[in-house]
Amino acid sequence: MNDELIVQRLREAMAEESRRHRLDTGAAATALADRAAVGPRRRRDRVAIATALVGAAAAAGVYAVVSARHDVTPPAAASCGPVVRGPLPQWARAGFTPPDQPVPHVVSAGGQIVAILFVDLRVHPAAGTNNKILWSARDGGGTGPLVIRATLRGAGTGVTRTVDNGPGPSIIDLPAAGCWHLELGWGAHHDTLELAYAP
Amino acid sequence: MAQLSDAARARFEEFVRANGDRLLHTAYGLCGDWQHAEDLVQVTLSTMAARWDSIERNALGYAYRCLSRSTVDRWRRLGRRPEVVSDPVTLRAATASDPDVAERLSVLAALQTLPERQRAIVVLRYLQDLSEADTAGALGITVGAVKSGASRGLARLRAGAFQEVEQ
Repeated sequence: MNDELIVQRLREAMAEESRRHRLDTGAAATALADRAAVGPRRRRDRVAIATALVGAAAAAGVYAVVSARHDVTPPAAASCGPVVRGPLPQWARAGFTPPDQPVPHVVSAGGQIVAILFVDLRVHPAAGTNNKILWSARDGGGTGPLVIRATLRGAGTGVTRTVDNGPGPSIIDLPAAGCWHLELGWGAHHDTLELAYAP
Repeated sequence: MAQLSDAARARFEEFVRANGDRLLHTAYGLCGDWQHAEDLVQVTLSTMAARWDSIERNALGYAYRCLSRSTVDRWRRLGRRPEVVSDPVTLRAATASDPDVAERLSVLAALQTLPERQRAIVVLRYLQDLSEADTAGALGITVGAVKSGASRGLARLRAGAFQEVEQ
């Protein structure tokens, strides 16, 4: 196979693969231009930016721009696992600029995965918001889905949620307020953490 | 950081509309994963938005530079090259019975076997059709390094991964 044919094969493969993936440019442009317009003071707040896929069937990404200083501690959090408001673990900082900015997050009991929180988690999210969680696994996640078995502490209520593409952007809605114990399974990995949901 | 004027903001938004897909696809070529590609584009656009007034004249070149450097920075932060995660939907389709999809994924996986510099050169030079000089500018290397990197990258594909694709 000569170089010309290799390049042709690469181009054809990339063109076909790319045909199915488009950037939601309107949302990205607006959100990022908004960020640029924030000004010096807000800039120092180290605005956290992360990609969130909105909706299970969302083929195109939209970009959520949120402040790392927003209050993420819902009322139910008092008796639940702590939400850390500092820098992410080193292995979870990819995509964050600057990497050591404070980001609200919860590290799993085994330290294998972190839930990065962009909003207050609520049973009934406020208009225009979703329960966005970015899951970042220490080993990168591997292939296969992230399966979440959530149990409401003190009530025994259990539900299962699946993030089809494995650790990554997700929207996790849970049916009741309180402290939820999450058993997380992805690839050959298993870990647990707690998340508080407000009403 | 100066605020963007309405006119500059409109131009930035137009740039994203016109080039967003191109940047996303370039990022995918660099990292081999659509989710990571979106992250890379986001970091790039965020950086560009903050400096739009000074980089607007060569915005696309700046974007390629940011994408390339963000990719390398990400690998360095991770301390290793990340595992390439295939889209499970695509993977299922490939394993189902569609030889075209399987071959496409194999070709793209072959690209990911190249060292980071060679891969970036191949992506920018051949998949984005940048000139040798523009590729060199985007990667902060010499034209000579682009030439040798491109040659070695293609040779590596020819000798290794593409042999397996052919079989």
